[in-house]
Amino acid sequence: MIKAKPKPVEEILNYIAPYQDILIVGCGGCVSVCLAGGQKEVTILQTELELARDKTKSTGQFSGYTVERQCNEQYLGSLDDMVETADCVLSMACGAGVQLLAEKYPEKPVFPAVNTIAIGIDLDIGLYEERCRACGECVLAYTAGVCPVTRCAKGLFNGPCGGTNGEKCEISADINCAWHEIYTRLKAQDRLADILKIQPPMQWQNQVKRTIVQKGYEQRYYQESI
Amino acid sequence: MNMTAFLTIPSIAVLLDFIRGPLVWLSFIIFGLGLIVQTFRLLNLTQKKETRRLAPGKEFVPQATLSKRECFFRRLAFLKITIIGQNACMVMFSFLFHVCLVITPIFLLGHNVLLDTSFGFSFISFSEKTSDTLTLIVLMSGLVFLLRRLLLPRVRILTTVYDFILLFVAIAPFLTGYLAHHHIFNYNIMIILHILSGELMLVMIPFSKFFHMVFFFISRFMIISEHSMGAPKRSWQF
Amino acid sequence: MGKTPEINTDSIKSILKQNRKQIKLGLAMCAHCSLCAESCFLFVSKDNDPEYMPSYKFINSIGRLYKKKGKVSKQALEEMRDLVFEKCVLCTRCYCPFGIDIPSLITLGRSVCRTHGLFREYDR
Repeated sequence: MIKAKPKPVEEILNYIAPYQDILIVGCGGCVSVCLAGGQKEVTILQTELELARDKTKSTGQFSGYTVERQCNEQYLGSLDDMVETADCVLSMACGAGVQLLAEKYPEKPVFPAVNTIAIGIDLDIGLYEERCRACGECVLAYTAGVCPVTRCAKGLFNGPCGGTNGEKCEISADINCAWHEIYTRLKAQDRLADILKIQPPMQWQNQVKRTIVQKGYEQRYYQESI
Repeated sequence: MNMTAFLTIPSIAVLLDFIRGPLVWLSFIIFGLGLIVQTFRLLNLTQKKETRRLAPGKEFVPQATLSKRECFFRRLAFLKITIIGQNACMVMFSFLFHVCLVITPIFLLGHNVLLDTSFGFSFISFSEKTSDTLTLIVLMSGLVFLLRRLLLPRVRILTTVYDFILLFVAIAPFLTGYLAHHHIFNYNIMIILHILSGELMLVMIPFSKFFHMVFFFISRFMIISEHSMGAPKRSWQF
Repeated sequence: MGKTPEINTDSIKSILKQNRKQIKLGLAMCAHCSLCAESCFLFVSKDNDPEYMPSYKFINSIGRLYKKKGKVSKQALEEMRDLVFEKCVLCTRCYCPFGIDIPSLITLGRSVCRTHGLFREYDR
């Protein structure tokens, strides 16, 4: 799922300095799972901000609320009254959630309280690692389940670069070369032919706002072709 | 026939001697062995889990250290995120109940006298007054639990008959002990009921929900989870 | 709805059998204390509705299946679906004073529902 990390309190204090009534909105989705923006983190942030307020003898009222998911407007209805009375909103959701809140309440300043980092896996409790950059054109089928976009420093699609340092990447001896891993895993599966085909370059769709239409919903959203 | 006369009927007297004698030892043996076996079975459901270490070069840089005073206040403020902050009243009653439940019988003068006559050793004893207070705390917390079960919708929705039985079994030795000590109702009857209920509770601990006495420590201190305490190194192996 | 296939007790039983120890331990240790309630943000945001309590959700899904040895009616399974899919988002943040792993137990309830084609339908 999406992995995020709470922003430093000092940074958040800067955003909210001009405002009095601050509403902290958590999200029960991915950021809750990765211990970054669920109900508990909302309370933690609220406490941190209150402590900072008391220390600097400034004013400011904080309240917290957690919604089921901030990336779907359907779940934001219960926020209307709370946002109405707040001066600004701190969203603990991923970047998508923050933006939806900001869109829904264009008259209120909405600030992010977490840094959305990656789509990743849970290695252990509180320990996560990136696995996917959501490039939109998955090539894992021919790269033996190792993502060259995420794992290769250069995002190469057709074999390693010249800088490969044995099994390591040229930018750091601590990073494994993704293409070395792709090669060894494919070889073990006797699938080396998979990387002999030249893969065309990525269409870099992620320079525009990508839209996802799930199968079966095309008719509903696409315009009729002429 | 009055009660005291009833208790002196020969066959009843034999039964009473059995309850006061061998049955006590039997309960303690079942309690002890049961606890060991059940704890072992529980530990068998856990396994060691290696903690991952990040590659060198990703050393943790600790934040600026705070003064002791500041640390204290921070901790106090952050109690809010724990169960203490969320349900302070219940946590307090629960804590008092459990502590008193365990220490009262161990350090009770009457029990220590029995221990001394049987084995020639005893623990230090609380004064009668202290024990009385601790007993009343147990009874009062028990009453709070009972009222919660009856009145709070969120507890009532979970409650089954078994919960009332357990609460009753846990409270009974304290209630009967208190009544016997203060010679309320018939002393002889009360003390027999006290011994019987104590025995029942001991026997039930390893084989009922009372086993949370051990489960709590294993699962909160030995199993890695968001809410674990200490430095756990194991995970469940189901 | 109304498209739930017939209850396949055997498939439920196999899930129960595979996870017997975990379910048994969870049910045996839950003291029905309700201290898990506030850890569920849905419980808090739905005005403290007790049906959102983590313990209520696992006891009345996988717990009920375990006690009834998998023999439940279609309607009961559909109610469980509501409990584990609609009333839980599996954010895995439940607190239990005894350390019962409630999210795993709710996951098992979800698994049983899925074997009968019952899951959250976002496009309903």
